[in-house]
Amino acid sequence: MSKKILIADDEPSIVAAVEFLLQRDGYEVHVARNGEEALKQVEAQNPDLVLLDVMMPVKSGYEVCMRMRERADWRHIKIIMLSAKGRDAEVTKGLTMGADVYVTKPFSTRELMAKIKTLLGQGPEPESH
Amino acid sequence: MNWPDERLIADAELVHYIEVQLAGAIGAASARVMVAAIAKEEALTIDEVREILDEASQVVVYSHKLEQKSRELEAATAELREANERLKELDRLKDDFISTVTHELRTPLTSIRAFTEILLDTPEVEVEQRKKFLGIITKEAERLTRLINQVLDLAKIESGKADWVESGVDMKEVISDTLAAMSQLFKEKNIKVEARLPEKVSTVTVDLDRMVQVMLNLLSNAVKFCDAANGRVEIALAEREGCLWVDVRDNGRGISPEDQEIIFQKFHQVGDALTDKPHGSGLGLHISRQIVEHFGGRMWVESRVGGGARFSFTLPTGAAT
Repeated sequence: MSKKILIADDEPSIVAAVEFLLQRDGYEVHVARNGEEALKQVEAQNPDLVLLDVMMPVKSGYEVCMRMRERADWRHIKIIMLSAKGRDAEVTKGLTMGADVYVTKPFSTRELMAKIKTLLGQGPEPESH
Repeated sequence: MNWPDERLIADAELVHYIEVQLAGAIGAASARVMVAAIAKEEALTIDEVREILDEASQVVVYSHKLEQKSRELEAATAELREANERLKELDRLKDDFISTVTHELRTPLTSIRAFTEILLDTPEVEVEQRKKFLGIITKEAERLTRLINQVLDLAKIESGKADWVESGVDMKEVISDTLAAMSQLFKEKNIKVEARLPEKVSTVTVDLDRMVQVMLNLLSNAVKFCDAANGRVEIALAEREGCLWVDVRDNGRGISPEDQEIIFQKFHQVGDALTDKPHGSGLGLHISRQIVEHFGGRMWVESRVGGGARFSFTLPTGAAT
């Protein structure tokens, strides 16, 4: 069964790019356009991993991350925080809030895909079928 | 010291003590005379008393001066402290600005890089999709360019290094020309445009290109935010009270009172938070207001939620009122 990934980002063109990459590599993709929607989607879809933008309307990525880490039944969900804010303080904040990985925008798509695979226990190399 | 009285010599220490104590209130010389007089149980002469009073009043004057100086110093310290706070605040604003600019620059760059890498790494992308991705790359590159230009423009205006080319400008022509330049966009978005322009208005001494920039900004905002299905934009020009008045009205969702001042600040956009955020740099209105104010005018917005928005600005005609 393919792994489920939720993209939470309010920037349509970034969502389009990441969505394409994930689908290309065989993931099931869901999209949320703001923090509030992200939490609803996590509840509804129970994804394996969330790609979480920090600066989102309604609820920030930090807040979503914190809410997610408060729920014991969501602890297994991996979180990659994606942000154009790349200062050390922000990276530290993201990781303290419970993100597994913090990626600064703009990112290398290859590195991002490799990180996703590693976090999902699929190894850095694509699996043979 | 050669006081003749023996009692006094015996009590030299006490005399010295009293002198020191008194010298604090009156002058040292007066203190000495006074103590000597008391010790010798002699009456003071009129001249001596006058001298004592003189010195005493001197001391009072000095003490007032000292108090005055101390108050001045305190005020100066407070002023310095305040200036320091202002500098800190400016520094914080600058940091915020840089952080926001960085964020705004990185966002389109992220899409450009991602789609470029997708096209490089994914040979099997179909022609139609390839076109779509290249279209996004182009659009995001344009957005990045526009943003860079606006940030540089704003920096020039704010540092006073902008070149203002002033001439007598007919705002009626500026409005007509801008409307003509945007007619294609209005048609594409199916927006009805109505312009109420008088026969003739006084010319204003302004920078023509800058006024076109202001009109383009207000009109493109109106297009962006007016009702999606039945878009309607109204432009009005009038002359009264020694000013030209320009109104640009849309029939969009309107702006809440608390957002009405925020939208003129740098990088503050107001959109529908639940759906896509509006595209743009968030600098347009801020720059437009600076331009209008440079020429002695004002710019503001009147709106209510659900009732559209009307952006207005004035430009003084220089004519006597």
